Amino acid sequence: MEMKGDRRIAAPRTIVWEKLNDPDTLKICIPGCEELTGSKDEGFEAVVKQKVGPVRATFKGKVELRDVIEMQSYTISGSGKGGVAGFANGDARVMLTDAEDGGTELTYDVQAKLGGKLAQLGGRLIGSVAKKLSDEFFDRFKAEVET
Amino acid sequence: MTQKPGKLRAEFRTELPSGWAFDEIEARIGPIRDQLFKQIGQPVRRKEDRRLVTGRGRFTDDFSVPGECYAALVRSPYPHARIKGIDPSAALELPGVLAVYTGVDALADGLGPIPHSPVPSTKFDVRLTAPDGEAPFIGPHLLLPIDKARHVGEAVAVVIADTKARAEDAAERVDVDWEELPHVTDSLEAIRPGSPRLWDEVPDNTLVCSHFGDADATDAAFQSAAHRVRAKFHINRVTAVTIEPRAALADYDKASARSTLYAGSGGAVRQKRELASVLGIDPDDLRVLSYDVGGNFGARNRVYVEFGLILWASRKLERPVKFTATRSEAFLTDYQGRDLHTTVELALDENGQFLAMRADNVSNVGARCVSLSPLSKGSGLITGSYHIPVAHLVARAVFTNTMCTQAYRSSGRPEVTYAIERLVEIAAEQCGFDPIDLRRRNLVSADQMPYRNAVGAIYDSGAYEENMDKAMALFQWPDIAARRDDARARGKLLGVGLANYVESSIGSPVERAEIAVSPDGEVEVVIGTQPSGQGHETSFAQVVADMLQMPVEAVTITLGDTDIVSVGGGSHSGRSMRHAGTVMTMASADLLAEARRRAGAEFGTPAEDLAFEDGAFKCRATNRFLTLSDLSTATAPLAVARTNEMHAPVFPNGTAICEVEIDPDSCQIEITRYASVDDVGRCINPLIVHGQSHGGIAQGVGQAMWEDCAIDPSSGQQIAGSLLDYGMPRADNVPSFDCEIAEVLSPTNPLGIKAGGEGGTTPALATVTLAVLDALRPLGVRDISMPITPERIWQALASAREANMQELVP
Repeated sequence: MEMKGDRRIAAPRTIVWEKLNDPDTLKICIPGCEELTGSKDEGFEAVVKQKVGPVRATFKGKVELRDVIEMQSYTISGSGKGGVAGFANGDARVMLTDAEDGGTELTYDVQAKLGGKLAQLGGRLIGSVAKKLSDEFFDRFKAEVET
Repeated sequence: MTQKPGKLRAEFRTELPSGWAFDEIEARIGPIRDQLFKQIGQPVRRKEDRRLVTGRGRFTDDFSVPGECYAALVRSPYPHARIKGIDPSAALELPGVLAVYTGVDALADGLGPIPHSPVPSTKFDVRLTAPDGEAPFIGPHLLLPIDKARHVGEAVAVVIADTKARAEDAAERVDVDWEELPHVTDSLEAIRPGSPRLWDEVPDNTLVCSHFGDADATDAAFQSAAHRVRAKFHINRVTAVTIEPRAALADYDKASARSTLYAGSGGAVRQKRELASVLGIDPDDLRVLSYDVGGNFGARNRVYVEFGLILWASRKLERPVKFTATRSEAFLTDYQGRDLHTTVELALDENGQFLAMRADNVSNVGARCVSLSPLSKGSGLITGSYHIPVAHLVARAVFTNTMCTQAYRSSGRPEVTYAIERLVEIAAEQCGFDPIDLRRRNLVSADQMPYRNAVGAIYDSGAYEENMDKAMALFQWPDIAARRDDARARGKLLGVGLANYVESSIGSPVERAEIAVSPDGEVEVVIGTQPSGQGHETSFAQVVADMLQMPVEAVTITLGDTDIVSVGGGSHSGRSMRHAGTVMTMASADLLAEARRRAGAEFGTPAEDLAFEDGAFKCRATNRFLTLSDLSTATAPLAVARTNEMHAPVFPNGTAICEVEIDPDSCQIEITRYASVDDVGRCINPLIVHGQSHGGIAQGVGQAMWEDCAIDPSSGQQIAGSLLDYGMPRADNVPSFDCEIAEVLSPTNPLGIKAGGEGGTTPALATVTLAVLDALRPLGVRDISMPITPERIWQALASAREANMQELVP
């Protein structure tokens, strides 16, 4: 499953980059995130609650930042186990460029993989739910940075 | 109308192997005369239905034993993953949790693998072997794996708790340390070099590779042929969706050291034998009870790991343990069906005479090999109902990271029927023949029977062309053009698909019947088959009633308790009526012989002088008579037992025709008519056979139009895990069927029985697909794969439009 998108953020690239690396911002932006602990360098531990179709699950897992190019791009990847609900893994490559108006152009490319009941029962809903969640993340992020 | 079986004549082209035909001397019984039949052939209403529809059925989950606890399984969310460790501590902390067992525990207790015997074993099954000619490696089916999980849903630990909810909660807390491995779910992918390997013993995942027929003669015929056609098909994977999910209850009696397992299945005797082997106990220490069963279709014939696990757990904990699968578990881990890739080629001469056929069949057995029946059955029938002088087949079975497949409703036959019927239709179109004429020209004719096909299967009897004519008459074939115009006027595309079929019914060769007449005139029959809706209690009673000249009501059929039923092959492969009918007829003859002896002694006359009429032996020229109940006393009841071994397959056959209307805008499909003629051999109860055929058609239509165990190849996940995502046929989306039964008797058994029911399914995949293609042909569509959903039709129409555009714009 792949999702792509972009957001024009009315803030300079340095600010956007800083926020992308700030656990508190990430916690606010990850839909359903109840806990996010740890640090950028050692990795984060997260607890995320989600509902996909008939499946409700609490995911416990790791959030890691990889392939970091300062001020330009990174890959944020999460892998969570939701017990019998299954598992969810996802990578988002996030890239920043300066926009003409002094703001920042954020583009993202998400790849997600699901297993267990989530895949079996939520199958027909997964595409739209995943798109909704990634949209929600970047909408919230934009709002968070711009306020 | 009943036709007499052809008497075996010396001049038959086909040399019949010994043990093929029914042997009157060895059986001590001749073909049964029609004059005896009062009940056989009558649409007797099913005796079991009152019980079933008034809630008095005894299904597995209805049983409870005081103190029972519940099992829940920890299942793999990955298609392929190494088990680095299993930590049950968090689960064991929860209240009510009695135990968590893993594969390591099972190994420590000496549990063995389920002794599946996947290679069909009668004398007339085709011989499937490993590529080196040896017996295939099947992948040991341990109750819980130790090394790795090989498919999504594979159980890796079992949790036992005092309530079902607590067991499920605890299962969620068992921490499995997984190491994900690369996976492969498609069989053609799995045989590519470098594909992920499931078993080190089988590096290329190919556990079976066998050749059948004559490769050189086939090559030669292809070379000189005027026409050659070729096609590739995938017959999609489906699952049985039994209305009663699989369930079991294990109870251990410490005093006697005996276990009792309540578990609905396709045959309790196999369950007992194989589960005793898994547990390493004497089979006498295990009693299996299988009473009413809510659907089988093959899925319940083989042993499930959960049955062994709860037996084991109940012995360890000394408490009864119950397991009832959820619908999700059923979708994921019931044995599944079909999943065959086939490439077929046909050579024809300039007049449309079939000259030769090639087939390359690749069967996806899943992560372990439970049954090779689908590949085997299909292999013997690649040429279908047609006389094709030479053929060559490569049959392969392949491991993949998917749930195991098993014989499912007409194992292996719908697949090859689909292939040959679609190929014939392609040949007709590409070479310019009328599809019906082409079929007629090449059908095996009645005077070729018994007919040996190009891969060695011997078709016992049948009037194939007559079936086709009858079905076309039933369908009112000449009206098609007018109906098509009428549909067009309503904005609909009408299509018609016809398929001929022949299928083989083989099955486990041994069956046993015990018949006893009580002094009060009750007849009890003990038999080792297992109905799951087929009405054995009625049709079997009809046979015994006629043999003993007693009323049907007097006959009771007892089955499903291994303490009573000692031998029996269960119900699969359309074997039950034929095997049970034969052995019950033999046992009845034995019983009458004993009764005659007793009557002779009583009358003081030679036994052979007595007449047997209306259930009584009559002393000629007197008014003295003795009924069977008179001849049975409490101290010396009339009771016999007979075991029969019968290897020869029978070949039910027929023709089915489907009509569809498609709305080209919404791409909605409606099945508007369906007609079929099914030669089932002797029909014991037409009411039951029709019911079975109707269910069989719905099941075949279901696969063609809705059903699909869709697997996402990138994640290996089965993505249709509920009735929300897995489409099923329903009463409102199939029409009323026009079915007719043909009875061309089989010479292989005394009653001339073939088999009924599966004949509904066998041609249905082909008829539906051909009808859809017929409707869409004017719009340029030539191929479509199952299930044919409106989305698939829309895609087919879109690509046909695109292709047309490209042709127009050079």
